[in-house]
Amino acid sequence: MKKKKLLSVLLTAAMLTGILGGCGSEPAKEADTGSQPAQEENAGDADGTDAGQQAGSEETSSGETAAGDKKKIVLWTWATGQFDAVRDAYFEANPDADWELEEVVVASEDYLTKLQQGYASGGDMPDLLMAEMGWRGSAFALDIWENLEAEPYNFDRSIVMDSVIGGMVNSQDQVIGIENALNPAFMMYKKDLAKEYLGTDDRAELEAMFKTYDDYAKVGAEVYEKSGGAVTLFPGLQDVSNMMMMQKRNVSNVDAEGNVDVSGKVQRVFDTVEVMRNAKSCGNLAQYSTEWSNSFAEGSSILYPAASWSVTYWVEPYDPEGIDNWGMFIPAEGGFGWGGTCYGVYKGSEMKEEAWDFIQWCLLSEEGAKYMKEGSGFFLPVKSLYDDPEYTKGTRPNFGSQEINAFMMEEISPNVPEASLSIYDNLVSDSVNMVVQMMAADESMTAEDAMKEFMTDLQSKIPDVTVK
Amino acid sequence: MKEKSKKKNKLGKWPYIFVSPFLISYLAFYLYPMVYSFAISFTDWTAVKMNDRQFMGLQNYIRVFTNDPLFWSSILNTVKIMIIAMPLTIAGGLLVAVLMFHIVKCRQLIQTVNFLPYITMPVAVGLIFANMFNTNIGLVNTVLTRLGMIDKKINWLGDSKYAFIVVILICIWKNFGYFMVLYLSGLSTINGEYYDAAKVDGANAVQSFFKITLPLLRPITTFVIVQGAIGGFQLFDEAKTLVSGSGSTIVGGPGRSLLTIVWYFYDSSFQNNSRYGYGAAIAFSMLLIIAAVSFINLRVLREKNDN
Repeated sequence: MKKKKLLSVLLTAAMLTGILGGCGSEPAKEADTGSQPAQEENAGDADGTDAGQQAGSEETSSGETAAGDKKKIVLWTWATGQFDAVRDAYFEANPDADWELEEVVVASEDYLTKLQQGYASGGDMPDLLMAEMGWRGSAFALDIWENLEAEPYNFDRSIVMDSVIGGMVNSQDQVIGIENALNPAFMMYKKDLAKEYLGTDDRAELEAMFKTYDDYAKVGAEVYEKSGGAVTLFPGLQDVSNMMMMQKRNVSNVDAEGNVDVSGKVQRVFDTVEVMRNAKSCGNLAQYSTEWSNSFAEGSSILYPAASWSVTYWVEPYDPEGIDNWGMFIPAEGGFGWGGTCYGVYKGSEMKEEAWDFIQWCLLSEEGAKYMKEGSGFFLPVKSLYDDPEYTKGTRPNFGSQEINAFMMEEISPNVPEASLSIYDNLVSDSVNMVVQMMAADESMTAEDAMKEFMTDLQSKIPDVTVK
Repeated sequence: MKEKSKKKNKLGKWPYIFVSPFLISYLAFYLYPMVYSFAISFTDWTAVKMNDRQFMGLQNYIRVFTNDPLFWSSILNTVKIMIIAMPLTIAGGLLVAVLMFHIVKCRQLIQTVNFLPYITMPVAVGLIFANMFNTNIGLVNTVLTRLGMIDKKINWLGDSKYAFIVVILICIWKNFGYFMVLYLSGLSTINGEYYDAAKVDGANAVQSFFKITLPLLRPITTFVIVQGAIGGFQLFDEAKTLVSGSGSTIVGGPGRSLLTIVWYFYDSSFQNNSRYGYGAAIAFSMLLIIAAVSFINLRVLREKNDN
């Protein structure tokens, strides 16, 4: 009987310990945030070891692991491996660095939510923060970023190009993130299809052929007819609408009174989408869907609005056989800026200086620039790098002999206007995408109907704000 | 009496110790979050205004009920899905249960196969349906085209009216097996003598079904309707993964026709600039609505039972 009682007590104690242990968390040193860096499932760390090995280790409050392993700088990223080459080079150049980089995979579309939740709950947060252009306005509104112009960082904004500064500052005009690249955007085309359906694969001739959006519609109708619908000029209407929105990304979504004012830039998008849809210039693929990615190799579309990162993220992985089958040209209404990610330091991090040292080396130094260009095809927005004419030279196998680096950096980049951020950016693009999808599905929907639908939808999402 | 009280005293602290693991878990992971959520529903707490939340009284609730068209359209979407899917699921579940009740061979197997969708992860269900109903490479369009039933591929997941149908199909497919099992258990409680007596009186199978089976299964039907309504109001994962599985990031799918109340709550709380206070107010408004619907359901069905 006594034994039974003892067993019951021990079992109860074990259960209670488990429950209470689960509730406990490491008290963060930063009183203002109560958060600490993440130690989540990782997808390949600095040593290339697997997730299982890392998940078992426990960090102390100083960021050092209990077993005496190296300290860690945690980076939440959707682009794992992007820093592999530059990270190795960093450690080679800085043998005294006694930490390792741990990458935790977080999808781009979930990133903002995860940051907000982690911060609000006082849970895991990364040491290195990322912010993508599409939702950067909302991310920058969070009080989680270090001011990189203050001590001990002392970042000097004059060393980077003026066109990227607008995307690196918060509403108090403090630089809180460093842009990882210039992101010039342009039109990409498949040479074999262009030759077959457009009669040429010459860049200059294509630029002359497509001077306005109406030209896309006109030629798109011809391509559809000639191919019997098997090939379209663009993969989907969303490719066109997003390109048009990006071409106007320097126009803020918010006016001086704090109202959301997008009527000017959105109306022309719907007008064009209606014309393009009626001309059957576009396929029915959703941008970034699996089918859309596969279309790079399949050859169902000729033109792809693209940015510098499209070369390494889409063309090379999805069309590895397409050697010398791609080209770039300046689209109707000119080149534009698309996407872009900036990196900052989490204000509750215990590895702030190390994190900043890494950012500085990778994104602001000449050595880092070399590896970012070779490894990821990224061109840093640091002015001094462009004093060397060789920096902007280079080709990639899929684009044959076309000097694509010079094209992007010398012809597109200088004309890309500064991006304007607001916390409504992701809501506006969600509404535009929704309405464009409706227009694609319903051929009787006019641009006027679309505009009404858009205004109603956006207004219903932010009923407290006036939408113009 | 004295002995009983003595026994009670003898137990002393032990009952409390044994109950404490559950009690602590309940307080920590159920009651506390609920009370906390209720408290923040009266504030303007957002991720942006992290350390500067203000008490707003009933303003969040007033906005939810009077100045939030998306809240009402999400309720409408949810109710529309429920109203169409639930009767079909219940009727299907009941019919198959009645047909299966007399099957002896492979009954367990059929039961298990039909029950599997209910225990399949909603995310997997959403992705499976997204692939099946893909416009260009989906099985459904391929089959319909080969059968000559359509000339042009249907944009199942990009067109609001078709996407709506797909979600209804998911709801039916997923819950049908569960309802069937409930009805099977109900059928096993009906005394066979009723059927024998009906047979003697000359009743056929259809008459027996409507006059004996259906009335005696009313408690099960009541339970199924209440459960179905609660489950219907909680519809989220299937719709969301169906949309994201089709490559779209649009909240609420095409034309926001799949924006259910829980999806709207999730979007307001954690995606659309993380309005935690407002999101909590949506959650408690939803609780009020579900409670009201369940109450009405129970009252109506109980009155019918009494009659």
